[in-house]
Amino acid sequence: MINSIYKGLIAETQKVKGTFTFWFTILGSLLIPFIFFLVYFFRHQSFIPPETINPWDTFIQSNLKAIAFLLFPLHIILTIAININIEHKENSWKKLFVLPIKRESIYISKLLFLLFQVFISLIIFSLSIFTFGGILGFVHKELNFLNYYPEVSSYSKLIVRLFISILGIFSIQYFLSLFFKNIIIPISLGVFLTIVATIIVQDWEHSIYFPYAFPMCFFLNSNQLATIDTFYGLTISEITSFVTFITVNILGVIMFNSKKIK
Amino acid sequence: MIQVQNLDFSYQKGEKIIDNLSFDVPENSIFGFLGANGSGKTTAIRLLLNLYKPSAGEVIIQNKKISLNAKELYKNIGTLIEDPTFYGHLSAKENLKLLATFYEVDNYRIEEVLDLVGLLHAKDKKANNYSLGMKQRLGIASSILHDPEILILDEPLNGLDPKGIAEIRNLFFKFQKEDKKTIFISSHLLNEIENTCSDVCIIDHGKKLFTGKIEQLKSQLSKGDSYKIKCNDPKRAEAVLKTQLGLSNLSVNSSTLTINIDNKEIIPSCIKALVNDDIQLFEISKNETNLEALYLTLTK
Repeated sequence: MINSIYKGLIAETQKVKGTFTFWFTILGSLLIPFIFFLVYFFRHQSFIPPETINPWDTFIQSNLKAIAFLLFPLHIILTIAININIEHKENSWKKLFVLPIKRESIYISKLLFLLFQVFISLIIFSLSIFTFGGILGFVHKELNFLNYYPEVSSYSKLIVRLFISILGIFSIQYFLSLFFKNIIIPISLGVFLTIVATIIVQDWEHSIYFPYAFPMCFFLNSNQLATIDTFYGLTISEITSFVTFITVNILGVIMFNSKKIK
Repeated sequence: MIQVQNLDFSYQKGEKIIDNLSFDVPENSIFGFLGANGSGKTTAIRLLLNLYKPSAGEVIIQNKKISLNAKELYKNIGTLIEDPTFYGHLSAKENLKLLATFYEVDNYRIEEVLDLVGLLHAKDKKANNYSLGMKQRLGIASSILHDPEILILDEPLNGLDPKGIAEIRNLFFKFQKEDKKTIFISSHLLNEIENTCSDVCIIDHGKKLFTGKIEQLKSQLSKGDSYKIKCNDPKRAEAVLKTQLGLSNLSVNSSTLTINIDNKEIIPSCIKALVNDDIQLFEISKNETNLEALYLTLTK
């Protein structure tokens, strides 16, 4: 099984070579840090911090909030849909299903590859925040980026929590993209649910159980339930994200095993 | 090699797409699977490969039930199901490399199979830019990549030009004779099946009409042999054969007399009678009963 998943991962890597999904991962991850870079660059007077304040904290928080609220759900929805659409478009399931590997290996290797793609997005995102911050420090010394270091350890914890909080959306989008041949369906459903999440997350305390609101919950100070650590340092929405991930994928594997091809 | 036993399948209740289908594919044969469009060929192939689960019956390949041993059997089966599928943004070589990962096949084999199907010159061309015939060849290349003992190919000759058909046919003969493969081909190109296959199964509306050797089918359906006689005066020739030899099953057109006889021993007597009557004979040939005629007889 592990050998089959490994082969599947290699094949997935070969498959995305030169595709839109490959560039989407890279360019999509650079987008928000680049926008903040431009804002800081042209309006640097508004962002000059007091002498004793680490400017990285605000810069990082702003970037993270923007991706958690806006970019990341959409980024995941599109990354997964575009990737799986390669199989739907070519109807390659009929070739994949007669390979000498179990169907669950195909399911898991694709899932792991897409998770890896999201992880890479976060890495590119993080590196670009630090790079753009550094450039801003050089160009506008008064922004103080070169006089302080970013707190990498607390930043890494935030990124890990963000990663955990998107697992719920990830699994649902993976499920929808696998079982709906028409790419419009998973994308439009995903966008619709993300819009619902942005509406309910501010005013409804139970939004901590709504997967599309999970990444937003983490940065929401108004909802106390969303930020309290309940179990091994995880918030309720992060735990729910985990549970959603496991449940949806168990269902996904079962359905994938009986998936009919056309 | 492949035994199909009493398969039943339906998409909806009460509407049988495959109805009690049984046949055996002999080892090292080229087996033709014939049927009109919508007769259930592709569904049957999907059942054969365990892509669909039958509501009844079983498929046994190399003495193993495919329903229980699919993963193991797939190592030894090369497939082409309907239109060949490839990742259009990848080249032919990259597409095969992707498959080679799963089959643990060396890179040299990729070039070898591309060469076999005549695509080595276009190995770096994107599959999207391939013509239908080239895609078909690439489909065959992908099915033989892991050198399987069994090939199950759905309409493998679709989109090929006459030269391409002849090349692929010769390739099938090579696979059968030199590599000892068993080849299962579905097709609606009756002429090609006749030229390529030794055994056939004919289905219609999901039901088996015939399975066995083509020769068996011929002897089962043809009523005697038919001969064509080209001569200078077919009408007089008809009268001679009727009066002198008592033949009755004759037909004439402008330059040809056609006779239907049960016993070919009568041919020399016919020739003698016609020559004695000063009729000039240009040609005498047997009308071969082709598969198309048999197929039409069987399915009418």
